[in-house]
Amino acid sequence: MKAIIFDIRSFSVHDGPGIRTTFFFKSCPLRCAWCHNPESHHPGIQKVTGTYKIGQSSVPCFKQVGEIITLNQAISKAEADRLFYEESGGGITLSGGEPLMQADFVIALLEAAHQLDIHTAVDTSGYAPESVFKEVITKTDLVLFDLKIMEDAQHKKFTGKSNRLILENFKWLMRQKTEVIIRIPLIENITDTMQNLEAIRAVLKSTKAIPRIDLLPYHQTAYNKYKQLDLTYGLKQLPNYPIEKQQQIKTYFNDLAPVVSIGA
Amino acid sequence: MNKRIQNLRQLSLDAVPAISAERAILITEYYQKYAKNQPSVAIQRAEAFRYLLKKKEIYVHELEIIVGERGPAPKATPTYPEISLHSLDDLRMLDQREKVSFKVDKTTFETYRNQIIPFWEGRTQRDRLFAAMSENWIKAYQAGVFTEFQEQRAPGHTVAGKRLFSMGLLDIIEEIKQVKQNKSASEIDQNHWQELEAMQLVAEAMIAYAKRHVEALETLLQRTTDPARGAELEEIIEVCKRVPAHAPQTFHEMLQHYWFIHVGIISELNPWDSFNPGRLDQHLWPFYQKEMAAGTLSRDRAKELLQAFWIKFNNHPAPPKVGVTALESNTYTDFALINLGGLTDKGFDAVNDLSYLILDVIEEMRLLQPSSMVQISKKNSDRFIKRALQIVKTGFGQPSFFNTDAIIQQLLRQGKSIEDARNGGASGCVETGAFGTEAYTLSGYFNLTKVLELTVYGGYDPESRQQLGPKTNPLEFCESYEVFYQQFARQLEWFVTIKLKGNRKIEALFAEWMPVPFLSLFIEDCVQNAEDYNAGGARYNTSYLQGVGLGSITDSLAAIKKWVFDLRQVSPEQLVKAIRHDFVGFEELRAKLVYESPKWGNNDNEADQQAIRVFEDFFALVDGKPNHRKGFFRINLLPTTSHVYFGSVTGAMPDGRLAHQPFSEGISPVQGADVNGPTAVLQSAGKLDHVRTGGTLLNQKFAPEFFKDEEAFQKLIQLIRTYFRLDGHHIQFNVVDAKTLRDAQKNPEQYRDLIVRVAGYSDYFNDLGTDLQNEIIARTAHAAG
Repeated sequence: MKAIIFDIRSFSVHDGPGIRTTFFFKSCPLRCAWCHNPESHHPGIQKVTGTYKIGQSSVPCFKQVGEIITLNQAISKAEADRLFYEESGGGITLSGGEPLMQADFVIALLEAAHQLDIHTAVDTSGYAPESVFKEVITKTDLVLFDLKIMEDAQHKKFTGKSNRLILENFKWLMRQKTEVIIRIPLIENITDTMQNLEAIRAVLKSTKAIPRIDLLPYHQTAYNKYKQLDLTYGLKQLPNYPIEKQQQIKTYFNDLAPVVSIGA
Repeated sequence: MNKRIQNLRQLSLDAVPAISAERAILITEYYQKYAKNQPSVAIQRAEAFRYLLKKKEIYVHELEIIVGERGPAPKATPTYPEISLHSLDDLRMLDQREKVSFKVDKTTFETYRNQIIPFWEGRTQRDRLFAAMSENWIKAYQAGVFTEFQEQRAPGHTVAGKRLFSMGLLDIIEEIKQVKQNKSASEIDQNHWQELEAMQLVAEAMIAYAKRHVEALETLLQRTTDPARGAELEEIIEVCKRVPAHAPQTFHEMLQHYWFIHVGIISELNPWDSFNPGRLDQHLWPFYQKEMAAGTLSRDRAKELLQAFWIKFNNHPAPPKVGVTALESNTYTDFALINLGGLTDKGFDAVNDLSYLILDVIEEMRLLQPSSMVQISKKNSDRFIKRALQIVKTGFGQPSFFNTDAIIQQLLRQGKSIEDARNGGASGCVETGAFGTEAYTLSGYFNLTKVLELTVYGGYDPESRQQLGPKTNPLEFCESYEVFYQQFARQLEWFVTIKLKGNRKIEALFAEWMPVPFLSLFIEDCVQNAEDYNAGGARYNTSYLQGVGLGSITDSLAAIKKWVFDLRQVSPEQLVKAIRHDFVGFEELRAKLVYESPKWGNNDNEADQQAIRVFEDFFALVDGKPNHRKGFFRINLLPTTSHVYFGSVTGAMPDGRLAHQPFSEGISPVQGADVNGPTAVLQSAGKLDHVRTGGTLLNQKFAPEFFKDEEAFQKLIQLIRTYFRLDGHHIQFNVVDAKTLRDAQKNPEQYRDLIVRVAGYSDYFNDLGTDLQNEIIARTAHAAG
């Protein structure tokens, strides 16, 4: 069994508890305007031209965005940092892109990790067929679930898709035993409008208790990636998310979870 | 810190390092007038010591509470002409060089011209040493295959243990007399008898030296009009009347006792790593507890005394070297490394309230010297690590983290008792030692990558243009990687053998010509054995050889294996041509070597297997070989700053490194080569068997952003714990972003206080050579994923 991923990152410390190894899967059904992993957009392996900087000169080279990974390779990558997981209560996180786009592989990897006593987290937008979503959720220890925009028309405008499926899945998720961490991207005038924040707050109040909310303030670092991939970046002009506002929003959500953290 | 400490600290920071001819003059006088009539070298050395302490100027500042200076003033730094002699050119260079300079005034210069140089020229220990070395040794030494520690400084590399803190000099004199009585005439030869006489003489000399401080303090007392200071002076006088003659009974006495002895040891000769109180929180703890309970000591006063003690270390720069090495290797740091935490000799968690108090002192003082480290055993709490990390976060490179459980295993493997092992720690940069019971001298840095360069050319050195090693098959004539590696193994054996042979001779020369009866008083069992520290009198005697450039040699071997032999995409001729041309015109090949080859530090077995192999072969050639002091050679993997010097004498290498650039330091990956984050670095490093070394050095740089939140501290604690589970010996963190460092290069005047972690020690960024500055900037700054 194989999957297409674009990165594996060890010592990942913001994608769930402890020290983790995060697998970034290619392919995503959404096109969020602020997306900072544009490598995931194309579902296959891409060749882009890049350069190796060598002293003052640059040597042109082809760089591959994406690679094929077998289940066995993924498992041995997952196992490599086991001692770090054990020491820190960490594990592996499957992120993307949207990992549920390669659900068969994800499920197999989760099952294997479970067999090996490795803690698992899935970082998902929630945009996946109900049956797929349900199967993945039952196999993972933790879900990192994004709540982006609650109003459907706005959601469509900034992500390219309706949020109906996402919210249906979310509703179901919150009735399950699986642990959930909520992640809210903070994008000025897009996700941080009073109306949107209130709507998120209302949804969270009406569901089961959550242990943690991660606020993910917008940062500009993705611009170079878009350039390299020859993609246009809609938010080029947007500055990094203001720090004072981050604090205000943190205060706004503070009573909803024992931990409300800023940053990823 | 209070006003007094602020003032003393500022005085120390403002003091300009200068060469003082005082010691050179007195020692020369002694040798001119009195040395001839003495029955032995040991007595000569002891009397020279006494002459020095009797005649040297006593310095006591009106604000001080801990007294004693090696020179006539803070940072007035003596020379040791009997070990190595500064020429007039050396003095000029020291005076005028931009970094780590020492002012040399006209009188000093003239004294050297007229008195010191004429007497010592041709008769120093350094002259003896070079005269005794073989032609092959000299060639390899000059080509930069290895360095020699003892060519300019005396062996030392040792640390105080319980003995020093629990005995007064009068107790030790009593012990010497007992040994004399117990040994019948048949049992003891003249040499041992003379050594005992010399020991007694220097012990008495030190008691007299302390008395001179009492007199100086009494003069101060008469002059003082401030009643509070008067009372304090009386207290200091009482302390100096008791120690070091008697065993210390209070916290204050303890520090003063140590300090007198410290000054004695670094005046007797210029031992490497100066001297070091070692497990300070352990030695002071009983006194701290007792006095806190009795109400005779407050936490504030304890802190003030410790701070005054800290300033004393900072007043004593490392004595500068002569010749080329004065240019290439220089720092004011003299490598006294205070150990905190770890285990007690009975195996209990040794962290106490004082450990935390001393960490507060380190944080507040922010001085270059002394260096500091925390020992972390599995029994020590996370809280202790966290407190140390909070200081690391301030970006001053201290303290570093050591694995107590690994250190104990290392010492046990070498044959130490469990108690001696638990009382041990690490000193200098990262060197493992049994404190108070072991003479563990470093013999030199060994340039592993240079040996690989020679192997590529069949033993020929393209830099010095001569056949340096045995003639072996050059790379072009090796049909397989295995054959090539065998050529390397032969070269390695050749040079290690030369080095060890040289060091046995050098140890014999020190035993014969440079006994250190004063240092010998404090290391078990020199007195009982009636044998000098430099002659093998200590309970344990180890000689270390330090391998340098593990990352560089690993990546070079891995690149040769992959491109030349496994894939056969690059012909050996092409590779050799590229490195001989320093990759000019071979940029594409170089890019391949840099970006598409297996690299050490990424948990990639293709690379890591090469590191393990080099480690095992180096280990097998060194470990367990006898030294001259009834002990053994061992290895460690640390560079201090030699990776820069070794790089400068080595051409371009198959890992893509350009000619004369620095090598990787310690067991850290090549600068920028670790692209898979810190867990991968630690996994690679953990594949080495640290337990069979006497210390390894691993440097990790983190951007300051990483320390933003509480969770980050937790992750770093877990990172350290996991590395130590893998028996990792040491890890240190540099918390400075590259931008800051680049700015500091451009505007050094704005960064006069910037202290960075170099390799096993911290230094002022401005005092580092440009090469080393660039190298530090190039080290990967790990950001969080």
